[in-house]
Amino acid sequence: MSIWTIPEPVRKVFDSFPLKVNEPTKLPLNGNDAGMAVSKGLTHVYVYNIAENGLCTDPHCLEVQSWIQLRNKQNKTESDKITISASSVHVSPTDSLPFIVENSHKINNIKPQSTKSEPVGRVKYLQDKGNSSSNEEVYCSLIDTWLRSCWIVSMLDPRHLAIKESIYILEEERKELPTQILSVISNQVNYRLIQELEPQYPELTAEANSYRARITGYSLNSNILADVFDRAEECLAVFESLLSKNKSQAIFGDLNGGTDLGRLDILLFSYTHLILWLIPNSQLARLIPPLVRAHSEHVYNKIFC
Amino acid sequence: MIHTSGPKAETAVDREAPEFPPAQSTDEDSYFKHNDEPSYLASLQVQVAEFIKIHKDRKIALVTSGGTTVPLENNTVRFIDNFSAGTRGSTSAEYFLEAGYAVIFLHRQFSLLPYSRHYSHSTNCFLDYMVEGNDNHSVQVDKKYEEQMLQVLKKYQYAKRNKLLLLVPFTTVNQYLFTLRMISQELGQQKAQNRSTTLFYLAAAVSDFFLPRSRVADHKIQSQGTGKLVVDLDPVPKFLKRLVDEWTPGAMIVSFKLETDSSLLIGKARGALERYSHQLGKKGDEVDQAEIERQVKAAVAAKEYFSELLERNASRHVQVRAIRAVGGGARSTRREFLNQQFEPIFQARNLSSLLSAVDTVYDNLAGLGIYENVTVALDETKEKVNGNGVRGLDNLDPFAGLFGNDSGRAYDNNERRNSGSKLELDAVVKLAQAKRFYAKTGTDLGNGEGNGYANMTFKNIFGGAEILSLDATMGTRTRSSYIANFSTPVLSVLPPQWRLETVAYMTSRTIPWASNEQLVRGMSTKIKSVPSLLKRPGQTPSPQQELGFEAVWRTIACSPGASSSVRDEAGNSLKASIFHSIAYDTRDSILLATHGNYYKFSHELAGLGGIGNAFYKTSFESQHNWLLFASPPTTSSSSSEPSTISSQQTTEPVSRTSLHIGTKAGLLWMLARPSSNSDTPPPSNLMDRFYLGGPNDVRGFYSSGIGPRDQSDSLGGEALLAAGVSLLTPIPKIKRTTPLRFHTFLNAGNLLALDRIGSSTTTAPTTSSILSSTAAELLNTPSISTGVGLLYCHPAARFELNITFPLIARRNEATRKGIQFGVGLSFL
Repeated sequence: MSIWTIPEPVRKVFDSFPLKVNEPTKLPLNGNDAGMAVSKGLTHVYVYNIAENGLCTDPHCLEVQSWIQLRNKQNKTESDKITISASSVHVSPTDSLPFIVENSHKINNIKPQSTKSEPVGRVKYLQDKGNSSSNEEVYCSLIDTWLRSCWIVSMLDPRHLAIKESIYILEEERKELPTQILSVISNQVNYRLIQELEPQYPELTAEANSYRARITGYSLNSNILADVFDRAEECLAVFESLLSKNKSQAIFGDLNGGTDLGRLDILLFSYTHLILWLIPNSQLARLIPPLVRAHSEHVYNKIFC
Repeated sequence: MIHTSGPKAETAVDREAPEFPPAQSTDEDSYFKHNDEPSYLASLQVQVAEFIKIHKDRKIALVTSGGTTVPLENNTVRFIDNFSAGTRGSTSAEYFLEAGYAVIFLHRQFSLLPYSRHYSHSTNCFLDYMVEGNDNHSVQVDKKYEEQMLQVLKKYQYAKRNKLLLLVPFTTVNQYLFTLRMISQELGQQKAQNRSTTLFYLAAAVSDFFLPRSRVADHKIQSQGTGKLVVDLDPVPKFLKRLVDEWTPGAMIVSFKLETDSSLLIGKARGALERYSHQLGKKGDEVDQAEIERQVKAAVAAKEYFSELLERNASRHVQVRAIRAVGGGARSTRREFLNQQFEPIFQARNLSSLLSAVDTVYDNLAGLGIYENVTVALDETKEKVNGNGVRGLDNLDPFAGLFGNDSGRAYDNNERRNSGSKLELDAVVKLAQAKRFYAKTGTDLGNGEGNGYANMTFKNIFGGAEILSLDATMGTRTRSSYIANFSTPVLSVLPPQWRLETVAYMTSRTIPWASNEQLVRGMSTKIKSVPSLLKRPGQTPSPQQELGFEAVWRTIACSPGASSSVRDEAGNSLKASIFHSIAYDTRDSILLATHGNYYKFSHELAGLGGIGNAFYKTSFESQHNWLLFASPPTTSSSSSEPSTISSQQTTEPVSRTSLHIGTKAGLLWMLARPSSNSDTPPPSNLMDRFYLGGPNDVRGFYSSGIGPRDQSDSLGGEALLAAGVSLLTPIPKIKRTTPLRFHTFLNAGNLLALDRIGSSTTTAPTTSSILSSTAAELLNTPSISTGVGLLYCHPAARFELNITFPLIARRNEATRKGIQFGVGLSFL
């Protein structure tokens, strides 16, 4: 018996004290209805922002939203549907979105794509499909690594400051907070994005960790920039080549000629659609070849139209 | 007469031994903690309390007399003794009694006593005063001594009849110190409203060294072995500073300095006077009766003379011509700043207002926190000041110039009316500079968390009492905190008792009861009143106030497992508010009050300039304390215990049982934005709401465990009401002076979210209906707990170990049945 165990006679005395139980009091007013969704037993996803056209503005979030859209089309009952709402990044304990609260009240976080072990688990959860092929793993990894890196670099470009803030800072906060505070938050976003580049460019992260960089911002090394864009171009060329081999389908499917959208389709779409929509005149947008552009439009039509 | 016990002067005192500094509180606390109090102290306390009560309207003198012993063995055979027959003390006590004082005579047992000292066994053997009667069967007083004896007898009987003398014995230095403290504290408490009628005349020869209990041999130290006895003695802490400052503040103190070398005497006596702030003190190597009488009369006369003169000359015209500031503090402070501080003295036009102004200036200067010591002296313009700017104490006749005419005699009313003269004075203000920079690191424990901190403070930066303080803290709940605080008086705008304070801060705290982490960066500017350092008898303290503006940027970040309600609140928000608080505190102690009340009223109006959500928040808290009687009356008859010269020994009860009642209330009222089309106000922020429950308020619940909760997260509430009753009783066989008590309590509290929408779909509830329904629910459905425990008051914090029993709780509230531990400064 532990010394902290209450002796039985003492416990009996304690238990003999009656405890009258009253009904719980009402909760304070909530600001949005996400809590209501969870309280109704629905699975809920928190994302950075949802634009007026109803689409998420971050590739990770758009990818999850696409799967949710497909899933909700299949599940007619209200209780099986997944709800989605924009939220501050601070809703997630890991400071990254999307953040999923399952209907079992068990909380699950979708990590950034740079965490290589996570995409499989994520897709399993959302897709309810069989194991993906090894080729699919390789292609997804290409997007997760090199297209992602180029997306981050484009977001860090000072010319895209306003777009980056509209993507990663909650719209209500952008309206309410003064410019000085927004610039601090913007810098925090930069820092989180640069941390994602650490596996590829550790020296960049080291610089971002410096006190000076946190105050004054970051400047990207031109050699790194060139390398990032070269690799993104190579990555997109791979998918252009793949699509050219299967022009009739216009999608990858399960890479074996299936007609259903596959994991690779959703993942590539989540980047190319946002690049062409949000930064159409950027260097990255100019790298997207014609068939990949057509693929993006095709997938959008299949999911959201 | 041959004295066999007189030491050789040239070898009796070690000239090279350093003077011990005044005791710090830890010295005293440590001494009383590690040494046993005398077993008879409790019954003695009863007698002392009764004596003081009888004479509460009379002047009381505590006279200490005789030497103390330092036992070397528990079953004492050997001890070290301070030689003193008690002549000075016993003689002085007689003069005090003649002067109308009631006297507590704390004396070495078997030393000379007042009145009987005239006929002691050794010097004036009482048998020499007797002769056989003519019938050879009776004893008569020798005719030649009859008149003298009759006078002594009359005085003795007068004192006995009127119970004017209480004899309190001691033998060891330990008994002396415990008894002195007890009597001082009783005098301090019972004569709290009029401490100026208390006089300490400390004539006992107290040992400077003692042997701690842990090193005292149980049995007789054997003389075999090396044949040498080496004794390692510790210094006795100097208690006089505590006596002056805390035990009986406001009392007059007369202490004595023994030196066998007359060249050292004046300097050391003056040093002791300055160190302990005593009024008189000098002691030579010869006990001279005439000198004793002079000293006693001087002490008595000085006090009465001063009071009387003040009264008689209160309206006398005086004008301070110049003020001279001396000392390191004066050199480091800007001249114009000091001039502003001294302005009240220059404005005084009569003696009464001048003395009041001196008090005010002293209070203001001492309250700045940049001087270690402040003294203000007044002198006639024509007189010279010595080298350090303060009049010589050896020539002190302070009243002749201020109150007297040219012959040094005091003005009476007629003279003052007729003279019409104006006395010109100079003031000398001595400002001892406190350290202008210091850095410290340490740990804090309290209110349920532990912290490590580093602090740097810069004082008097620009010579205008500016203080800059930089703090960095890391702890169990406060993950990090950085605070820069700059405060300064603004004499051109604010009265001297107010300071302007600007604080910039960034804190990050983990909130375990709501699964989130809160990061707050902001700044506040406020004016605040500085509490007065002068505790004038009978004067109630002035309320403390703050008025300021605060602007903060707040971030709530969810921890893993946060409920949906907490997730809804995640993110950034702003707050801009003005706030005001007023507190009134008459308690005798913050941690363990036995009397006095505390009230605090705060309010805050947020949403200024359209920044952040608008709300009005108000809160009130109070505490009321009473000392109750508990101990039954006792009777003392032991010959070893003290006794009054009276036949009646029945006493009133003396108690340490106290009752405490605390209350808390609060309301957070969200206001609709003027720019908004909706009448419905926005939701309140998690960080603005009230929280309730835990060992520091409603015990029997976990911290913030009362009120609205989503899963295991406490969301806080917008309406708060709580109350607690605590009964503290002494523990048998534990020293009364030990701050350890039995604790019995009953706590109740309720915390609600305001229902601003209501159940009706057509009409929104009115403000009055919301408030009345909330008030009704607050009163009708409180969560209640009770329990017992132990309470210990350390100087740094109060510790409670309670067994708690929740009696009423809401279904999802976090109750704590069983042992609950609390540390903090503030409890319900």
